[in-house]
Order: sequence, then C-alpha cells, then structure tokens
Amino acid sequence: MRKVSLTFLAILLLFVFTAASVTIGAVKGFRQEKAQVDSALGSLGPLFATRVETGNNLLTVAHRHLPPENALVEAVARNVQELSAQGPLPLRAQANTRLEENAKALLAALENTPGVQADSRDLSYVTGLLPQALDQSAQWTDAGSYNQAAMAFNERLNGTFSGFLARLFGEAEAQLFIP
Amino acid sequence: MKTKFSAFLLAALLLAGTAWAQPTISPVVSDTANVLDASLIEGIADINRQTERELAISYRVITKHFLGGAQAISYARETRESYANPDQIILLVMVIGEERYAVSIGSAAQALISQDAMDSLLASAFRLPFLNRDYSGALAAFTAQLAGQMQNASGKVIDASMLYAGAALVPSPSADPLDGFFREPAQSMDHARRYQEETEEAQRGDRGLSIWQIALIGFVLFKIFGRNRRTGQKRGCGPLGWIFGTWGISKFFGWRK
Repeated sequence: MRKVSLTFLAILLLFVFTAASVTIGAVKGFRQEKAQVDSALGSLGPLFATRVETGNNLLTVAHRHLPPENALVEAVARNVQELSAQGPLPLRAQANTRLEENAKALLAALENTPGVQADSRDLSYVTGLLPQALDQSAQWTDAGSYNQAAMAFNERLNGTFSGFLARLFGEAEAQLFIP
Repeated sequence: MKTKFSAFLLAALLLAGTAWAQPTISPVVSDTANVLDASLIEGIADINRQTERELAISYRVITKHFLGGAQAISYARETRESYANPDQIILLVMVIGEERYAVSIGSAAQALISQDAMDSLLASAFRLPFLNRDYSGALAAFTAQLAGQMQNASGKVIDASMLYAGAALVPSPSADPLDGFFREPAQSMDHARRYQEETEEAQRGDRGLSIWQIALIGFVLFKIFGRNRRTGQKRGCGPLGWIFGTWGISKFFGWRK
C-alpha cells in the first residue's frame, strides 16, 4: 500500500515538474521574444532624428521662399517638433507619417514658387536632393517592419499552447503602430 | 626556430593592433556638398602639408548641404574634437543650403590666430563670395589669407601661390548626396541597419526546434518508452510514430522553428 502511494506521489511529482518546466520555458521564451520586439522598437527612436533633420532642412529652404505663416510650413514645423519630443514612440510614429504627407505637399508647393524657379540651387534641392533625403529617411524609419515583427510575435503568443501559458503568466501582446 | 617564429608572430600582432587602434585619418577637404573645384582641393591639401610640417597645425574643410537644425559652430567644434589631435586643428565648415559657415580653432592653433582675427578674416575674405555662391573663390581667398596670417605669426614660410579658385555655382548631386544631407550619415545608416536586423530577428523569433531535433527527441522517446524493459516487447507505435507524435506536439506548444 505504501509502495503504491509512493509511486503515485512520484508520478504526480513528475507531472508537476514537467508542467512547471514547460510553463517556465514558455514564459521565459516569450519574454525573450518580447524583449527582441521591444529592442527593435527602441532602435526606431534614434532613426527619427534623420526625419527631424530632413524636416529642418526642408524648412530652411521653405523659409527662404514662403512666409512662416504658410499652412504647410506651419504643419511641417509642428510635425518636426512632435517628432523631436521625447514622447511615446507610437505618437512619434504617427507624427512621422503626417510629416511624410505634409513634407511632400510642401515640396510640391515650393517647386511652383517663382523664387525657387529662379534659384537653380534651391530648385535642385526641392526637385532632387530633398525628396531623395525624405524617401531615404522614410525607408529607414519604416514602421511597417516593426509592425510585421510585432504581428508575428502576437500570432505566436495567441496561436500556441506555450503562448497561452505565457499569457496566463502576464505576457502581453506587442504594441502595433497605427498609421 | 620556434622562438623566432613566435616573436615574429607577436610583433606582427602588435603592429596590427597598433594600426587598428589608430583613429581614422580625416581627409583635408571633405566636400560632401560637391561644390569645390578639384584643383583647389589639391591646393588646400598642399597648404595643409606645409602647415603640418612647419607649424604642426592641420587645416580641415568640410562642405555640407545642411546641418538638419544644428548650429554650424557647434557642429564644427564637435567634429574637430572627434579628430585625432583636435588642439592642432583649424576646421572650416561651409553649409551650402543654409548659407552659413563656422570655423573652430584648436587651442594650439589659437597661438597663431585668435578667434577675433579669424572672424575678421572670414568677414573680409570669405563672407561675400560665399553668399554669392562662389564657394571655391571664397575658400581660396580665405585660405590664402589664413596662410599669410600664420606665416606672419610664426615666421615660417607658407606658400599659398598654388591655390586656384574655380567656379562651381550650383551644387551638383554627388555620388552619395546623403553624405551632405545628414549630420552623421554613417551613424544614421548604422542605426537603420540595426533596426532592420532587429525587426527581422524579432519576426523570425529565436526559439523553436528544427525538424532534426524533433526527430531525435521522438527517437529517444521511442527508445525510452517504446519497449517494455523487462520483456523487451514493442509497446505502442514504432519510432516513426513517436517522431510524428513529437512533431505534432511541438506544433501544439509552438516549439517548431
């Protein structure tokens, strides 16, 4: 009788330890993955500096040819300020998207100003180098790459038993950028 | 023989280490905005050789399209301080698209030319042609005056007769125009590369078992549980069944790569 109860206890312990190791492994694994996603998000922060630079460069040219109260100049200046602020990254990513739209509109408006048309240097900036820099910095700060990584993580978290265990122990979904 | 070889290897390693540890040598003229005449660049390099040889002072020039909102003087000071021997350097930064310029002078160089004297030189020789977009002309006139000033202060001969002022009124796109656009293009590209790598890595996820690992685990499980140890008789399914079973369970737990 004593032997049977010991065997039962041993089997019970085996199951408990197996369940504990599976759970610990799942939680630890998902924490590591989440850290990777967060690290990718953190890497995006310094890249916004290139967008701020591009926005400032565009404003430098714009101030030579348009009044400061021009709506597009004001919009780009506001977006640059929002991007420079040390706020939450999702908010800065949204400002980044708005900067893209406003900067393109400002470039188009600048191209048609008589001042730019008469100035070969600024015309070359407005039609060549500034759009190039804008595209390049947009490519560098593409939030889509981060979103894909975050979505892949969320899929794994929600679609597997290990993910279920990790969620049970408090692992949350990765945040997505809303454009 | 073996000792000699070891000594030779050690010397080679030390030499390689020394070379590795040396700071990057900055070019005399870094024309990232692509606005300067090639012969002027050569002339300035020649003057720099003379000042380095005679006065132990280096002269550096950087042209950029924009500084992205930074002050020209701060950029000039920070860049000079990032060079080897910053005290011996005079650095002129020309920001073409912002129509600004600044000079940062190292402490040793200030013995030959003070900041006031430098400002006066910039105002008299550089400012007007620079604002008129005669960048090569402005730089040639300023460099010639600077060489004369250093010659007077030191008594050493600095020959500036080879300076040639060309005309490059419109900035043309350089091989990599972004060099002149971003304050620290190399650093920005490095950040971009890191972001790309980290998102790719995060997308893949670094955990999970390969098909071979799953097969091995399935086989080991079969060896442990697939036979009755006492009788040696087969129990349940064969090794392939165990391997497929492990494969299925690994999917359920999300352990597969």
